[in-house]
Amino acid sequence: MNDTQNLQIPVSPGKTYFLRIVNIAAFAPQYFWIEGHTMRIIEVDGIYHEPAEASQIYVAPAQRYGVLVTMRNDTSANFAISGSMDTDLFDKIPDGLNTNVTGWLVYDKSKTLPKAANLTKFDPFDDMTLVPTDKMPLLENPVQSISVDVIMDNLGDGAVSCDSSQLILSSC
Amino acid sequence: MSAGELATNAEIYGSATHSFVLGHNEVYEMVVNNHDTGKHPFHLHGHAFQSIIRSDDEAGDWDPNAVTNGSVKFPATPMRRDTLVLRPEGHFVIRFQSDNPGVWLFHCHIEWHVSSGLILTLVEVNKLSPHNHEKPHTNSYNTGTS
Repeated sequence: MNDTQNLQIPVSPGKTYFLRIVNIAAFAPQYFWIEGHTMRIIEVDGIYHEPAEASQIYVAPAQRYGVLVTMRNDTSANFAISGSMDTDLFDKIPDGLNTNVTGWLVYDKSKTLPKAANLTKFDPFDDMTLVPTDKMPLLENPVQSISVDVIMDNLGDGAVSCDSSQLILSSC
Repeated sequence: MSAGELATNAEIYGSATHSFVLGHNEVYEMVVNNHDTGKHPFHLHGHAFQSIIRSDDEAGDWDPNAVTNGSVKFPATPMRRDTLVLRPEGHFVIRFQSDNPGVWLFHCHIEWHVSSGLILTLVEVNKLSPHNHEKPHTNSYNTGTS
């Protein structure tokens, strides 16, 4: 998280912060949440949307989320920020792989940094429900509809499909 | 352009690039049907697209008649972004305006899928192109597969 482990973000009570979240991974999407706080999603991939409350977001590689988080009014505790890899696409999960990363919103340096909850079930926000702030209407009457099928197939010969209607993944 | 008359013939860009030539400032729709059991985050260069339909897992291919037969309603003000997760054995439908001339890739953003070729290329002509008002020549016009 932010190129480090055990990230600590000092925060002031009652203030609202704008967090820019990017998944720069090559492969694994991440579930992201902040214990004790909700996020107001206001931007995805550089496009502003009407604020939407989310307790957890799913950030796939290359996706960006801009969220507002309003801090609590008391400084009696610090709160864990969690990222957890979605391992669904992993063929094998190596022993000892740690799929979770933890940071903290630090209200008070002298208080403990609590252990993050280790979730195994996730309920992330559905980004399809967002509405852009510019309310750009549905683009109508496309001049063309390009339709492609995604097929993962080992063609074994290093060739790539020549048929433009199919994106076939080939691997040697 | 050095390719002259052929610039809008998608075939000159090579068969492995999966190229499509787009006219200037038109509305284009892209439908991606996932015949794989894995999810793929698809990313478009050059544009944020309207994310109109994203099916659940195992919904099968997009039915081009789903709107006309009333089974699906498109949102009036769709969400816009440039990277959208395609569900396993599902589909998504996106639209954008071809108002940004250039050669843009559309690809799954999983690194090793990119290396293996899960990419298509959009060649978007500019308004000065003498071919601008012609229907662009591409390999398939249909809304179904092959």
